[in-house]
Amino acid sequence: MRSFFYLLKRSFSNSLNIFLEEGSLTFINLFTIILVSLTLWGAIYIFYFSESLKIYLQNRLDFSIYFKEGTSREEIEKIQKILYNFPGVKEVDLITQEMAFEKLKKESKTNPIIERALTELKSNPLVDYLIVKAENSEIYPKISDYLLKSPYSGKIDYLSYFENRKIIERAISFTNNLKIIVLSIVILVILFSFFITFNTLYISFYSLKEEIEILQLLGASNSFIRLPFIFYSFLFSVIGYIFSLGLVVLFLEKTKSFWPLIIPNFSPYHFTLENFFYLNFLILGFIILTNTLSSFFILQKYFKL
Amino acid sequence: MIVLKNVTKVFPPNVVALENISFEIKSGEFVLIIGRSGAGKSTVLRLINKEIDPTKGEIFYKNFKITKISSKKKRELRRKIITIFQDFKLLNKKTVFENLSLPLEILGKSRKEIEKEVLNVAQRLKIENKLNQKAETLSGGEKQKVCLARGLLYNPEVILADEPTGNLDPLSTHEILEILKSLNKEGITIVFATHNKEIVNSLKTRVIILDNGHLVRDENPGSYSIF
Repeated sequence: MRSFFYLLKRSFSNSLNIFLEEGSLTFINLFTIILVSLTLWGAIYIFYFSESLKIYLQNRLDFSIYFKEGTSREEIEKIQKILYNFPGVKEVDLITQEMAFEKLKKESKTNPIIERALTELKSNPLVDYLIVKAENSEIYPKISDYLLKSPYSGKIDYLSYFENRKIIERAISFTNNLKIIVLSIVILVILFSFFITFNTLYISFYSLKEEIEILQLLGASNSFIRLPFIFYSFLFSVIGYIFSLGLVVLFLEKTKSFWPLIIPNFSPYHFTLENFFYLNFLILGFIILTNTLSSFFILQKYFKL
Repeated sequence: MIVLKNVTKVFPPNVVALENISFEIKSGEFVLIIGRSGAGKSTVLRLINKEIDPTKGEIFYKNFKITKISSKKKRELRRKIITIFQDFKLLNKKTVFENLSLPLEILGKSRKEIEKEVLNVAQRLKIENKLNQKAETLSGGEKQKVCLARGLLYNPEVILADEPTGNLDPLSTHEILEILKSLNKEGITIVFATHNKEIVNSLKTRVIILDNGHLVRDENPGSYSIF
């Protein structure tokens, strides 16, 4: 046990020496880690952006159900209740004919012809209808199918889904494609990060090859040789990550008010604050894991002990 | 103590460095291995030190076959059989003290023990005033002494010297040879590879002559005249 702690202590102090003495190597390694973690942060924000865009688009899509004349409000409320319990449905709002008329009047204020026509009307020509909002756009065709096969199909005059179908389908296909593109970008970023980390570490260790060989000739154990290098990669990973986190925080702080102008619900600043520990755990964990595994693999494969 | 039995070493693709070599080195001997560059001198030392494995044949150390041994045994062997090199193999950016500490750190000794033993060996080789100097600032002779001191900290049974005076001036060469001779008198077996005729002629000791990977002569002290 004593020798184990001695080995840990010695390895840590040696890794610190490599960190300080091999200035140019440390600089390259720190730079790589900063680059890799900024790329990973970027990938996360791209992912978050695509999700925000998807939600934004979905919120802009709705699905209205218009009923035939003679359908009572009780029946409409019954359908509203059924749809509310439909899987994936977020909201079902009943727009009464009075509400619909008020809405139309409000919207027509800028158009004097329609406004005049509305004032000349003796009765409200509009009908009650339901507006359905689902969690995602793929739910709408399912609701439409369900309604048309249900006993209430006879009460339904028309579904706006068929009017909006093209837009909805385009939105679905767009968000799906976006998901694939973003996922591909994230995978590429992870592969790139791994590749760049691996190669930088390989070059680092290669430049310290002589030291490794001397230790081998002196009959040092594998852990005696390897641990300082593994600790070294852990050390510059953490320090490099702290630097990159500082840059990310600075960037978020400076652009805090800019992003919601592009998409109202897109705020990387708040997203990061809400998920601060999780995101840091994820990125730092990835970097440390990649570096430690790469170090171990390089030492095992290219510096056979 | 060290036995090479029908040893052949072929490096890829098909370079025969040694062919069917057999000899025995007894405990406490001072053996010179001589030959031109590429004769196979370093290969013999690297085989004994388990840096490389023979293509054919067997090598024994104290009746123990070392041709196929575990990594742990290999490490133990390298603490019993130490090597000094022409290019010293020191950590140049570290101080002499740090270089000398390495074997003791490998053995897991405490800071106090390290300081004591390093000072002892440094005094023995008269480099105690160089302990805080970086290895890169030392002369060739001083570097070789540090290299030797580093190995001595393991209390070795055998010293393999691979052209250790190749980069040294005559005075330093003489100094290193004197140290090796005194270590030999203390009972340490020395295997010294060289192509320097002055060294061969000054040391009246056993000589193994290699030529193009073949053992051409194995002479006892005083019975040879090769140059």
